Amino acid sequence: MSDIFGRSNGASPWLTVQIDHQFAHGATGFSLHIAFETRARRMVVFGPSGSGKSSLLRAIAGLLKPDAGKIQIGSRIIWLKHPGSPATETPVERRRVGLVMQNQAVFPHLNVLRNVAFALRGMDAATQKEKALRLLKLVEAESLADRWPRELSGGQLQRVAVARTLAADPAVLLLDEPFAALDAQGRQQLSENLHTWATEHAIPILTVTHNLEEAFAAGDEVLTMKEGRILGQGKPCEVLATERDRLLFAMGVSSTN
Amino acid sequence: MDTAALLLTLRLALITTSILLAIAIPLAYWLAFTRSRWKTPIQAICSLPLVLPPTVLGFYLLVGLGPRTALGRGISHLLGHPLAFSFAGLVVGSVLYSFPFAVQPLTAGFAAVDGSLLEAAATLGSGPLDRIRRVILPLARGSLLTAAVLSFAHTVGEFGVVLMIGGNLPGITQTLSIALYDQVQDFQYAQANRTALFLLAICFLALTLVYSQRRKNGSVKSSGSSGLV
Amino acid sequence: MLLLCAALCPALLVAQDKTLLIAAAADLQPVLPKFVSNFEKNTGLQVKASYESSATLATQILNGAPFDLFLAANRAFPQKVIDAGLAVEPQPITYARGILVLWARSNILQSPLTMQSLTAASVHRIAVANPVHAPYGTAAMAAIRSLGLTAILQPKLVFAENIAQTAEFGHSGNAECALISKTIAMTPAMQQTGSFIIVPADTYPPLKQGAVILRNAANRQAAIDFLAYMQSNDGRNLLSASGLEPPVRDR
Repeated sequence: MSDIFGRSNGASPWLTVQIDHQFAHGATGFSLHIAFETRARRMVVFGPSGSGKSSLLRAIAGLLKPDAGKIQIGSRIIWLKHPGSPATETPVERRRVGLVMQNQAVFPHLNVLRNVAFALRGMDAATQKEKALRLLKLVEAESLADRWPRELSGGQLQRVAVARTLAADPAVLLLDEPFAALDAQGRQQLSENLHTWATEHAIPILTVTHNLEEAFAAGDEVLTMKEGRILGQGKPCEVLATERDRLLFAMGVSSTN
Repeated sequence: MDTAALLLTLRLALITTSILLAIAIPLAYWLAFTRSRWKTPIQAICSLPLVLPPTVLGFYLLVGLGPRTALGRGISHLLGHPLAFSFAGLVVGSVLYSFPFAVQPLTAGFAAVDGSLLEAAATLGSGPLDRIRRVILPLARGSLLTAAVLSFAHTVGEFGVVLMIGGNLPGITQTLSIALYDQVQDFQYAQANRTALFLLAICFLALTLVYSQRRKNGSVKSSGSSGLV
Repeated sequence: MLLLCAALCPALLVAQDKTLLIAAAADLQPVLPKFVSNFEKNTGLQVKASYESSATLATQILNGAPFDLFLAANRAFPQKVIDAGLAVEPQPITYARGILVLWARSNILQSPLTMQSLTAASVHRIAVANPVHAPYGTAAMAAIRSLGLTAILQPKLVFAENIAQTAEFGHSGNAECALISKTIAMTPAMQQTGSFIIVPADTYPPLKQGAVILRNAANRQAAIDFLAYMQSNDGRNLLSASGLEPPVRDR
């Protein structure tokens, strides 16, 4: 199966990232220094809060402009900057990077249907509605179509945000703790639906999470981060072994590795 | 009451408000989102008419843009007549005079739009103009109304500038506030009272409109779930 | 600091008492300063003049403005003050006769300059004082009417609030011609930018400029003295030199 850029899976990385960024000046500032590439179509970035995971996603989406580095999706270089010189970049609105943020940012002045249809341009109202409803069904929120964001719970808003991002026809999907407001069952169902959809459309997904269970479930490859640096990259059972052991130990179950 | 003066005043206020909104919306967008170091001086310039005596403004329009200066001659050439004693002159004066009443509410309204909504719109493929049209303006609707109503009311009440450059031509530059002044000068106090009350009523109506819609829209904020994660 | 204020206060009060406040028509703006400085030198009193259109001044006085002496550009406005019971005499005292002139910017019109020149195509705007507020404006409109030029000139007229603003419209170039007082036409600023002719006196009712001393004047004696000075021989000479005609001697 070849990816959307015409290359067969595994031949070359779909994501290449190199970022050097200083968030605040001085000794107390937080800095991000990472470099990695991946061929895994389902990728997870795992780490505690404050490790820079969200910043990584924001940089790929174009919402954060690092001091220096390079970000490449497939063969498309969407960001390139050498220190001291101006950046070469694709503007945010043209990167086709779907990003579902932690704060959902659902538009308060549009109802659910129109939120989801926001990115559906150049088609008549009927087609728009049909496409939007289909995506709402995927996230199991079809019944919410005529509701308004202020009436919805956190979990419902998250579903809407996901559907809205999918409607924009992204080339890659970045999910930042997307299922945090859902219960375990909802999380699992939505995750499955999403991954099925992504596989169907040959869209790679990168999920950021600090939830161990989710990390195991959502990724073929895991990148662990801490304090703005990469700790490890590899298969979940290898990279997350210590984490898993610690969790099991805390639950009173001995390691059976 | 003088119908000609009333119609003239309303026409002036409407045209001035339309021009002001057209200029102020992009300017407010820049002021709300820029990080340029020119932001502060430009904001100060935009607010200047708030403290500038209208007669000073009128004076500079009369002399500085009159036929004795190169700039004034250029304007004459463009318009076909000098700026003074013309409706166009009043429009120019009113736009300058009511400028801050359009720019300030709009800038505040734009800046109050949740930044994460604009980020989301951008990732969904929405460019700057599209974001203004589909996210910022709808959410800043209240400020748009405030800007429009205040500019309108302020122009209706304008006197100093018109006095300096109007020439008091009925139907062309004799606005309601000038008519009021004339009536007082002519000791026609009863008529003056009627005109004054009418002007007062317009201002009151304008302010009521502004404050009522403020209360209505007070709770429109971004609907991100709070505190989860 | 407080002591300083306390010391100054009586001095200020005294100074205020001794300041003669004159409400003066706008055409007197180039004229009065000479009178004022001479008067101040001779009497040691302070004089302050406010220059506005006669209508504005009358309105202010009727609403309680604390002037001592009202020098208007006609007799009708002072009469209003008398009718309101605010003046000392039963009639205004004519202190001067105004002279209406036609002023034109240099290089606009062929000489010789006449009232007929106003009909030329090169004259787009003629500045006139508002006939309701300013007696010179009334005179100007009367002159235009009596010369049969109303229909042709009406579209060109622009109205200023007082005679000083009328002149400013001409001086700034926004109007090519202006019907103003001779007093203002004779000022350096107007002489430098244009020239003038006297409008024939038979085309408008005489501009008898009237004065009243106000009943509530804080400095009634000073007002009386100032008016007397204006009517003295020296005063009359000074008036002539400034562009006003001394009143006909009726005593």
